[in-house]
Amino acid sequence: MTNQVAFTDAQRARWDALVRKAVDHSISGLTEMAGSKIAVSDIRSETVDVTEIPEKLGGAGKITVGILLAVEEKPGFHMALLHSPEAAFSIIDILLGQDPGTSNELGELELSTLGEMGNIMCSFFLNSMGDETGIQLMTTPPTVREDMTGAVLDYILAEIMMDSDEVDLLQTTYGTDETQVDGTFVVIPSNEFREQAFQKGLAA
Amino acid sequence: MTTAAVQPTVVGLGEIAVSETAEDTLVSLGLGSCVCVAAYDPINKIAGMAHIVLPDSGGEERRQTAKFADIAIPMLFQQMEEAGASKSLVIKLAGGAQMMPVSAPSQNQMNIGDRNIEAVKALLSGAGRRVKAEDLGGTQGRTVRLFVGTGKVTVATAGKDQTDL
Repeated sequence: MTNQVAFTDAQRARWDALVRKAVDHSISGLTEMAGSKIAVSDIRSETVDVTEIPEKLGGAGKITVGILLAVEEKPGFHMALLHSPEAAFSIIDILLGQDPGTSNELGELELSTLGEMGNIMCSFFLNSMGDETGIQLMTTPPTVREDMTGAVLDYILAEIMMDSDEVDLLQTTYGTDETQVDGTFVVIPSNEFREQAFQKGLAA
Repeated sequence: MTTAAVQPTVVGLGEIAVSETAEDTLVSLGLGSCVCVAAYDPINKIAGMAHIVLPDSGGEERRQTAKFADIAIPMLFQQMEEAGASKSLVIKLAGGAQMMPVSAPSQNQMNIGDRNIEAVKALLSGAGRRVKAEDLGGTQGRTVRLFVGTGKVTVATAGKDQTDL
Protein backbone atom coordinates (compact mmCIF):
# COMPACT_ATOMS: atom_id res chain seq x y z
CA MET A 1 0.00 0.00 0.00
CA THR A 2 1.32 3.40 -0.81
CA ASN A 3 -0.25 6.68 -1.62
CA GLN A 4 3.01 8.57 -1.61
CA VAL A 5 4.08 10.88 -4.40
CA ALA A 6 6.58 8.85 -6.39
CA PHE A 7 10.00 10.33 -7.19
CA THR A 8 11.63 10.13 -10.55
CA ASP A 9 15.37 9.45 -10.33
CA ALA A 10 16.08 13.13 -10.93
CA GLN A 11 13.61 14.17 -8.26
CA ARG A 12 15.07 11.62 -5.86
CA ALA A 13 18.55 13.07 -6.35
CA ARG A 14 17.24 16.60 -5.94
CA TRP A 15 15.33 15.64 -2.79
CA ASP A 16 18.37 13.91 -1.27
CA ALA A 17 20.51 16.97 -1.96
CA LEU A 18 17.88 19.20 -0.41
CA VAL A 19 17.66 17.13 2.76
CA ARG A 20 21.44 16.77 3.09
CA LYS A 21 21.85 20.51 2.75
CA ALA A 22 19.21 21.00 5.42
CA VAL A 23 20.97 18.57 7.75
CA ASP A 24 24.25 20.44 7.24
CA HIS A 25 22.43 23.65 7.99
CA SER A 26 20.89 22.22 11.15
CA ILE A 27 24.32 21.11 12.38
CA SER A 28 25.59 24.64 11.76
CA GLY A 29 22.81 25.75 14.10
CA LEU A 30 24.18 23.36 16.68
CA THR A 31 27.62 24.96 16.24
CA GLU A 32 26.10 28.34 17.05
CA MET A 33 24.45 26.88 20.13
CA ALA A 34 27.59 25.13 21.34
CA GLY A 35 29.92 28.00 20.57
CA SER A 36 32.42 25.52 19.14
CA LYS A 37 32.73 23.91 15.73
CA ILE A 38 30.48 20.89 15.20
CA ALA A 39 30.64 19.26 11.80
CA VAL A 40 28.96 16.40 9.98
CA SER A 41 31.48 13.72 9.11
CA ASP A 42 29.05 11.29 7.50
CA ILE A 43 25.46 11.19 6.27
CA ARG A 44 23.79 8.00 5.03
CA SER A 45 20.32 8.45 3.58
CA GLU A 46 17.78 5.96 2.35
CA THR A 47 14.06 5.65 1.81
CA VAL A 48 12.72 2.69 3.72
CA ASP A 49 9.45 0.98 4.50
CA VAL A 50 7.94 2.56 7.61
CA THR A 51 7.63 -0.80 9.35
CA GLU A 52 11.38 -1.42 8.96
CA ILE A 53 12.41 1.73 10.82
CA PRO A 54 12.67 0.25 14.34
CA GLU A 55 14.89 -2.59 13.10
CA LYS A 56 17.04 -0.16 11.12
CA LEU A 57 17.67 1.68 14.37
CA GLY A 58 18.76 -1.35 16.34
CA GLY A 59 15.40 -2.84 17.29
CA ALA A 60 12.11 -1.59 18.67
CA GLY A 61 13.00 -2.57 22.22
CA LYS A 62 16.33 -0.73 22.35
CA ILE A 63 16.41 2.32 24.62
CA THR A 64 16.81 5.58 22.75
CA VAL A 65 16.64 9.29 23.49
CA GLY A 66 14.32 10.94 21.01
CA ILE A 67 13.70 14.61 20.33
CA LEU A 68 10.39 14.82 18.49
CA LEU A 69 9.02 17.81 16.61
CA ALA A 70 6.09 18.22 14.29
CA VAL A 71 4.63 20.79 11.96
CA GLU A 72 0.93 20.52 12.65
CA GLU A 73 -0.27 23.09 10.18
CA LYS A 74 -0.46 22.04 6.57
CA PRO A 75 1.50 20.96 4.60
CA GLY A 76 2.70 19.00 7.66
CA PHE A 77 6.07 17.58 8.55
CA HIS A 78 7.51 15.32 11.25
CA MET A 79 11.09 15.20 12.37
CA ALA A 80 12.82 13.10 15.01
CA LEU A 81 16.39 13.19 16.26
CA LEU A 82 17.42 9.92 17.84
CA HIS A 83 20.51 9.07 19.84
CA SER A 84 21.58 6.31 22.16
CA PRO A 85 21.61 7.50 25.80
CA GLU A 86 25.43 7.52 25.71
CA ALA A 87 25.45 9.67 22.56
CA ALA A 88 22.85 12.01 24.07
CA PHE A 89 25.03 12.48 27.15
CA SER A 90 28.02 13.25 24.89
CA ILE A 91 26.01 15.92 23.08
CA ILE A 92 24.84 17.43 26.35
CA ASP A 93 28.44 17.64 27.57
CA ILE A 94 29.47 19.37 24.32
CA LEU A 95 26.59 21.83 24.46
CA LEU A 96 27.09 22.67 28.12
CA GLY A 97 30.87 22.94 27.71
CA GLN A 98 31.43 20.14 30.21
CA ASP A 99 34.16 17.53 30.33
CA PRO A 100 33.20 14.32 28.47
CA GLY A 101 31.47 11.89 30.82
CA THR A 102 29.99 14.56 33.07
CA SER A 103 26.36 13.90 32.11
CA ASN A 104 24.96 10.50 33.01
CA GLU A 105 21.23 11.01 33.50
CA LEU A 106 18.40 13.04 31.99
CA GLY A 107 17.49 15.59 34.64
CA GLU A 108 15.76 18.92 34.10
CA LEU A 109 18.88 20.66 32.76
CA GLU A 110 19.71 17.82 30.39
CA LEU A 111 16.14 17.56 29.04
CA SER A 112 16.02 21.31 28.55
CA THR A 113 19.35 21.24 26.72
CA LEU A 114 18.16 18.50 24.37
CA GLY A 115 14.87 20.32 23.81
CA GLU A 116 16.72 23.50 22.87
CA MET A 117 18.99 21.49 20.62
CA GLY A 118 15.88 20.10 18.89
CA ASN A 119 14.43 23.58 18.53
CA ILE A 120 17.55 24.97 16.94
CA MET A 121 18.35 22.03 14.68
CA CYS A 122 14.78 21.75 13.48
CA SER A 123 14.48 25.51 12.88
CA PHE A 124 17.69 25.54 10.85
CA PHE A 125 16.60 22.41 8.98
CA LEU A 126 13.19 23.80 8.09
CA ASN A 127 14.60 27.23 7.23
CA SER A 128 16.91 25.55 4.74
CA MET A 129 14.02 23.55 3.29
CA GLY A 130 11.97 26.74 3.16
CA ASP A 131 14.72 28.64 1.34
CA GLU A 132 14.88 25.90 -1.29
CA THR A 133 11.17 25.24 -1.74
CA GLY A 134 9.46 28.45 -0.68
CA ILE A 135 7.39 26.48 1.85
CA GLN A 136 7.57 27.98 5.34
CA LEU A 137 7.07 25.60 8.24
CA MET A 138 6.74 26.24 11.99
CA THR A 139 7.16 23.40 14.45
CA THR A 140 5.61 22.47 17.74
CA PRO A 141 7.79 22.71 20.85
CA PRO A 142 10.08 19.68 21.07
CA THR A 143 9.25 16.63 23.14
CA VAL A 144 12.19 14.72 24.58
CA ARG A 145 11.62 11.06 25.46
CA GLU A 146 13.90 8.34 26.75
CA ASP A 147 12.14 5.07 26.06
CA MET A 148 12.11 2.08 23.74
CA THR A 149 12.79 3.07 20.12
CA GLY A 150 9.53 1.56 18.92
CA ALA A 151 7.54 3.48 21.52
CA VAL A 152 9.30 6.77 20.82
CA LEU A 153 8.64 6.48 17.11
CA ASP A 154 5.40 4.58 16.60
CA TYR A 155 3.28 7.66 17.16
CA ILE A 156 5.05 9.37 14.27
CA LEU A 157 5.14 6.25 12.14
CA ALA A 158 1.40 5.82 12.68
CA GLU A 159 0.85 9.34 11.40
CA ILE A 160 2.80 8.66 8.25
CA MET A 161 1.18 5.26 7.72
CA MET A 162 -2.12 7.03 7.20
CA ASP A 163 -0.84 8.19 3.81
CA SER A 164 2.29 6.31 2.95
CA ASP A 165 4.46 3.26 3.52
CA GLU A 166 7.83 4.94 3.11
CA VAL A 167 9.94 7.37 5.05
CA ASP A 168 13.29 9.12 4.59
CA LEU A 169 15.87 7.96 7.09
CA LEU A 170 19.14 9.84 7.53
CA GLN A 171 21.82 8.48 9.79
CA THR A 172 24.58 10.91 10.63
CA THR A 173 27.85 11.10 12.45
CA TYR A 174 28.79 14.50 13.72
CA GLY A 175 30.66 16.17 16.51
CA THR A 176 33.68 18.21 17.48
CA ASP A 177 37.27 17.30 16.69
CA GLU A 178 37.44 15.52 20.05
CA THR A 179 34.03 13.86 20.27
CA GLN A 180 32.12 12.14 17.48
CA VAL A 181 28.46 11.24 17.96
CA ASP A 182 26.19 8.93 15.97
CA GLY A 183 22.71 10.29 15.53
CA THR A 184 19.71 9.58 13.36
CA PHE A 185 17.35 12.01 11.71
CA VAL A 186 13.98 10.68 10.77
CA VAL A 187 12.51 13.14 8.30
CA ILE A 188 8.89 12.66 7.43
CA PRO A 189 7.39 15.19 5.04
CA SER A 190 3.69 14.84 4.41
CA ASN A 191 2.44 13.97 0.95
CA GLU A 192 1.14 17.51 0.74
CA PHE A 193 4.61 18.92 1.45
CA ARG A 194 6.14 16.76 -1.28
CA GLU A 195 3.47 17.80 -3.75
CA GLN A 196 4.00 21.47 -2.96
CA ALA A 197 7.77 21.04 -3.18
CA PHE A 198 7.40 19.50 -6.63
CA GLN A 199 5.15 22.31 -7.74
CA LYS A 200 7.60 24.90 -6.48
CA GLY A 201 10.50 23.55 -8.46
CA LEU A 202 11.90 20.57 -6.60
CA ALA A 203 11.63 18.64 -9.85
CA ALA A 204 13.82 21.15 -11.67
CA MET B 1 21.99 -32.26 26.99
CA THR B 2 21.40 -28.67 26.04
CA THR B 3 18.66 -27.45 23.77
CA ALA B 4 19.06 -24.44 21.54
CA ALA B 5 16.78 -21.64 22.66
CA VAL B 6 13.92 -20.90 20.28
CA GLN B 7 14.10 -17.36 18.97
CA PRO B 8 11.01 -15.38 19.87
CA THR B 9 8.69 -14.45 17.03
CA VAL B 10 8.76 -10.68 16.77
CA VAL B 11 5.41 -9.24 15.75
CA GLY B 12 6.32 -5.94 14.08
CA LEU B 13 4.29 -2.86 13.28
CA GLY B 14 1.05 -3.89 11.61
CA GLU B 15 1.82 -7.60 11.74
CA ILE B 16 -0.05 -10.65 12.99
CA ALA B 17 1.52 -13.90 14.16
CA VAL B 18 -0.10 -17.19 15.17
CA SER B 19 1.80 -20.06 16.75
CA GLU B 20 1.08 -23.51 18.17
CA THR B 21 4.74 -24.27 18.95
CA ALA B 22 4.91 -24.65 22.72
CA GLU B 23 8.49 -23.35 22.96
CA ASP B 24 7.65 -20.24 20.97
CA THR B 25 7.13 -16.73 22.35
CA LEU B 26 5.29 -14.02 20.47
CA VAL B 27 6.61 -10.55 21.24
CA SER B 28 5.66 -6.99 20.35
CA LEU B 29 8.66 -4.79 21.13
CA GLY B 30 8.47 -1.14 22.10
CA LEU B 31 4.76 -0.42 21.84
CA GLY B 32 3.96 3.25 22.20
CA SER B 33 0.61 4.37 20.86
CA CYS B 34 0.17 0.98 19.19
CA VAL B 35 -2.04 -1.64 20.83
CA CYS B 36 -1.12 -5.31 21.14
CA VAL B 37 -3.93 -7.86 21.12
CA ALA B 38 -2.74 -11.13 22.66
CA ALA B 39 -5.17 -14.02 22.22
CA TYR B 40 -4.79 -17.56 23.54
CA ASP B 41 -6.74 -20.78 23.20
CA PRO B 42 -5.88 -22.65 26.43
CA ILE B 43 -7.43 -25.93 25.25
CA ASN B 44 -5.52 -26.26 22.00
CA LYS B 45 -2.57 -24.10 23.16
CA ILE B 46 -2.67 -21.83 20.13
CA ALA B 47 -1.53 -18.24 20.51
CA GLY B 48 -2.04 -15.18 18.35
CA MET B 49 -0.83 -11.62 18.51
CA ALA B 50 -1.66 -8.48 16.53
CA HIS B 51 0.42 -5.27 16.66
CA ILE B 52 -2.12 -2.60 15.74
CA VAL B 53 -0.90 0.83 14.61
CA LEU B 54 -4.03 2.75 13.66
CA PRO B 55 -7.71 2.49 14.55
CA ASP B 56 -9.55 2.52 11.25
CA SER B 57 -8.81 1.75 7.61
CA GLY B 58 -11.79 3.81 6.52
CA GLY B 59 -12.74 0.92 4.27
CA GLU B 60 -10.20 1.94 1.64
CA GLU B 61 -8.98 -0.84 -0.59
CA ARG B 62 -5.32 0.20 -0.31
CA ARG B 63 -5.55 0.02 3.48
CA GLN B 64 -6.61 -3.60 3.80
CA THR B 65 -3.70 -4.51 6.05
CA ALA B 66 -3.27 -5.52 9.66
CA LYS B 67 -1.95 -2.07 10.56
CA PHE B 68 -5.57 -1.09 11.13
CA ALA B 69 -7.66 -2.37 14.03
CA ASP B 70 -10.77 -3.00 11.93
CA ILE B 71 -8.76 -5.25 9.61
CA ALA B 72 -6.35 -6.79 12.13
CA ILE B 73 -8.83 -8.06 14.72
CA PRO B 74 -11.01 -10.21 12.43
CA MET B 75 -7.85 -11.30 10.59
CA LEU B 76 -6.26 -12.44 13.87
CA PHE B 77 -9.27 -14.53 14.86
CA GLN B 78 -9.58 -15.98 11.36
CA GLN B 79 -5.92 -17.02 11.30
CA MET B 80 -6.22 -18.58 14.76
CA GLU B 81 -9.31 -20.53 13.76
CA GLU B 82 -7.56 -21.72 10.60
CA ALA B 83 -4.77 -22.97 12.85
CA GLY B 84 -7.31 -24.96 14.85
CA ALA B 85 -8.15 -22.60 17.70
CA SER B 86 -11.58 -22.66 19.29
CA LYS B 87 -13.68 -19.53 19.70
CA SER B 88 -13.02 -19.55 23.46
CA LEU B 89 -10.01 -17.30 23.59
CA VAL B 90 -8.34 -15.57 26.51
CA ILE B 91 -7.73 -12.03 25.28
CA LYS B 92 -5.34 -9.51 26.84
CA LEU B 93 -4.51 -5.99 25.67
CA ALA B 94 -1.52 -3.71 26.20
CA GLY B 95 -0.25 -0.44 24.74
CA GLY B 96 -2.06 2.69 23.64
CA ALA B 97 0.28 5.09 25.41
CA GLN B 98 0.25 8.80 24.77
CA MET B 99 3.85 9.41 23.79
CA MET B 100 3.46 13.09 22.86
CA PRO B 101 1.83 15.68 25.13
CA VAL B 102 -1.59 16.89 24.08
CA SER B 103 -1.45 20.64 24.52
CA ALA B 104 -3.93 22.03 22.05
CA PRO B 105 -7.39 21.08 20.82
CA SER B 106 -6.04 20.43 17.35
CA GLN B 107 -3.78 17.76 18.81
CA ASN B 108 -6.69 15.74 20.22
CA GLN B 109 -7.23 14.15 16.85
CA MET B 110 -3.59 13.13 16.93
CA ASN B 111 -3.92 11.15 20.16
CA ILE B 112 -3.59 7.88 18.38
CA GLY B 113 -3.10 5.83 21.55
CA ASP B 114 -6.56 6.64 22.90
CA ARG B 115 -8.14 6.17 19.51
CA ASN B 116 -6.48 2.78 19.13
CA ILE B 117 -7.72 1.66 22.57
CA GLU B 118 -11.24 2.81 21.82
CA ALA B 119 -11.32 1.11 18.44
CA VAL B 120 -9.89 -2.19 19.67
CA LYS B 121 -12.30 -2.41 22.60
CA ALA B 122 -15.29 -1.55 20.42
CA LEU B 123 -14.33 -4.12 17.81
CA LEU B 124 -13.79 -6.85 20.40
CA SER B 125 -17.06 -6.03 22.11
CA GLY B 126 -18.85 -6.03 18.77
CA ALA B 127 -17.42 -9.48 18.07
CA GLY B 128 -18.64 -10.75 21.44
CA ARG B 129 -15.09 -11.15 22.78
CA ARG B 130 -14.34 -10.44 26.42
CA VAL B 131 -11.04 -8.90 27.52
CA LYS B 132 -9.58 -10.73 30.50
CA ALA B 133 -6.78 -8.31 31.34
CA GLU B 134 -5.34 -5.06 30.06
CA ASP B 135 -2.46 -2.64 30.59
CA LEU B 136 -3.42 0.36 28.50
CA GLY B 137 -2.74 4.08 28.27
CA GLY B 138 -0.15 5.96 30.28
CA THR B 139 2.90 7.62 28.81
CA GLN B 140 5.46 4.82 28.65
CA GLY B 141 6.44 2.30 26.03
CA ARG B 142 5.82 -1.40 26.60
CA THR B 143 7.13 -4.73 25.39
CA VAL B 144 4.56 -7.54 25.45
CA ARG B 145 5.37 -11.25 25.41
CA LEU B 146 2.93 -14.15 24.98
CA PHE B 147 4.33 -17.57 25.85
CA VAL B 148 2.69 -20.14 23.59
CA GLY B 149 3.18 -23.14 25.88
CA THR B 150 1.45 -21.56 28.87
CA GLY B 151 -0.53 -18.59 27.60
CA LYS B 152 1.27 -16.34 30.07
CA VAL B 153 1.47 -12.69 29.00
CA THR B 154 4.08 -10.32 30.40
CA VAL B 155 4.51 -6.58 30.01
CA ALA B 156 7.82 -4.77 30.42
CA THR B 157 8.39 -1.02 30.49
CA ALA B 158 11.70 0.82 30.18
CA GLY B 159 13.63 0.77 33.43
CA LYS B 160 11.05 -1.36 35.28
CA ASP B 161 10.61 -5.04 36.04
CA GLN B 162 8.52 -7.22 33.80
CA THR B 163 5.06 -7.99 35.20
CA ASP B 164 2.48 -10.65 34.43
CA LEU B 165 -0.73 -9.49 32.80
